[in-house]
Amino acid sequence: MLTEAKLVKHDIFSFVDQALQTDPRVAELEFGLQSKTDRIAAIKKEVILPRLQGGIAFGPAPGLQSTVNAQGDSISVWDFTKLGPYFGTEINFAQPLNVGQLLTGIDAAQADYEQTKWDIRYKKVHQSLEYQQMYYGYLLSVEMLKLAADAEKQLERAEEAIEDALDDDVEGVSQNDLLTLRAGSYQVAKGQAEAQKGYAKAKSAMYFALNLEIQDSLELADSLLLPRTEIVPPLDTLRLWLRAESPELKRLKAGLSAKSSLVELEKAKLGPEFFVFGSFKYAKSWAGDRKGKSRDVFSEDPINTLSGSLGLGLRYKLNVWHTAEKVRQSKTDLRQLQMLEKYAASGLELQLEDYYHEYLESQTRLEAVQKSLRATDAMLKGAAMSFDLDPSNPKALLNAYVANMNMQKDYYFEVYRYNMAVAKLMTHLGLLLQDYLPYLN
Amino acid sequence: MKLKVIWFFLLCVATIWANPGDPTVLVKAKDKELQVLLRKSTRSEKDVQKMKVLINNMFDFSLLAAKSVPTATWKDLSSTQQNEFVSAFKQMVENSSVKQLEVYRSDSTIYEKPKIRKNSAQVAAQVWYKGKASHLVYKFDLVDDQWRAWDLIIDDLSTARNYREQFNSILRTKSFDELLEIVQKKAAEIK
Repeated sequence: MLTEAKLVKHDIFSFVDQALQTDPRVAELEFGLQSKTDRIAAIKKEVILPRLQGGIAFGPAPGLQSTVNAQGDSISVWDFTKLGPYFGTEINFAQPLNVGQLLTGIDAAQADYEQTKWDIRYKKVHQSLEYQQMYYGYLLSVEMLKLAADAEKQLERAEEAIEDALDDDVEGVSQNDLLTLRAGSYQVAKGQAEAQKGYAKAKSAMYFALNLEIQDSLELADSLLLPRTEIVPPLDTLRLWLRAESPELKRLKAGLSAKSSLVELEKAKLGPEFFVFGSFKYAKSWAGDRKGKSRDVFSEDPINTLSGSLGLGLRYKLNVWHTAEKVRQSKTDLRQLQMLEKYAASGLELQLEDYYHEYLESQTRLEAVQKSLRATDAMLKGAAMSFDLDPSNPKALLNAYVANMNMQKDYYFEVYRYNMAVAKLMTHLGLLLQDYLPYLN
Repeated sequence: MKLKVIWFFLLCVATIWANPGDPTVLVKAKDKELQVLLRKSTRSEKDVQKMKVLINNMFDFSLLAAKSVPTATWKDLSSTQQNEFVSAFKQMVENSSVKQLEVYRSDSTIYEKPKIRKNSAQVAAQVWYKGKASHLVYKFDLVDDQWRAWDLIIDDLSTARNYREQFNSILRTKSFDELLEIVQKKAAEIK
């Protein structure tokens, strides 16, 4: 069934946000986190009476009759001719008293939850980078499409100008100039085809990310690909941010906490486990001659019974060597993680420096290309004015135009590169796009 | 009020009447008739004459002649000289056109959207004959509200420019009268 076409408007913030909300991979990760929360709740609930069992029974029971055996003793035997109603119930419970062990278990689950939370954050930040790349890639493809269309138009105009000059027999213009221009039209057509392909791919990626249908329209707040406006702080500040914000470091820290709780838990298993236990049992039959014999329901016979118990228990695992081995194993894992944390922090800082230098390089290149673009703009204007006054040198105009077109292309690629360099830097710090907002110009 | 309506109606009619229309229509109509004649296994003298008219009727030879002679030379000519040249040139081109009829043959033709400027137009077409493609461009000028062709470009080779190059090289060593004599001689020769 066809759905109604809709118009969707986005800027980079709303696009990345919407794409993350729509992304099934993010939803799957969120479920993982929910499962960890449920686990903590389950552990907490296990604290109260982890063992509580009860049973209840109804039915007919045979009566009793007195008879004298061979030795002359009077005994009670089953009397199946006198069946009567029966009711019985039994309850057992046990409450562990090792609260410390239980709390350590909760701590471990909490740390596991934290680890998953930071893992999700890490993945979300990287997916946010992917969507930023998609957004800027789309804008770049639009710019390339505009450039290609402009190139085609300009080429057509140049051809017309040379043809007019040839038809008017303007001195200095030859048929060869026109043919040279036409020979170059393949490059323009190739560029246009590439731009169209790039645009189609970028558009379909955006539509997929937003879960849009082909008949829907997507309108972006940015009509031009412009350099990002965030103020990137100096490297020292970024180092501090990394230590405070990096989800990788936080994930490692949570992992360490979980591991250390596990070590404590294994250690606790070396000691005895204390618990309170109790039971209650009640059974009653109203069959046979019990009524006549005794009205006391607590009188002992093979069916009627009332019993209960309450006590303090102690359980000790005798295979201590097995538990000790587990403790040793957990300690080794913990030491490995501690070492990893130490290296990870310096490794992440080193990577940060790489990203920072990449950012600085892209900034320098962007400034340089802006300067060159201004120069080729001026050259093109000059060549156009000269051509208006004297059309005998169309090559000069064409060369100026080609140089300007190439420079425009380079400029947009450099803007894309710069924007992505900033995005990569912020992603490495563990910041989502919304987190940059305070640093916008 | 009635008078205003009549004036408006007359204005509309005049506008439609004055509109020279799409030059592609001219080229298509000419080509359709031409292809029928070109496909005939035997052609009578009448057919050849009809083809000559079809090929050349669209052209304004005074325009083509003016574009074929170097501008500086053309401007210096008297109107008698210009008319004499146009007449000889027309005859030469018309006669030579029927000698190369294969150039106009096609199995199929696809016309591009015409490029129309204020007083000029271009009609381009992709022509296939025996599996080989050629690109044709007709250039038109608006003369008395009629599209008149003055150049045919086949695969980037312009008829007008080609003649101009030839005439230019002759005029480097000879006078205009000598050139006129050559053209007249050539027109009679081809006949």
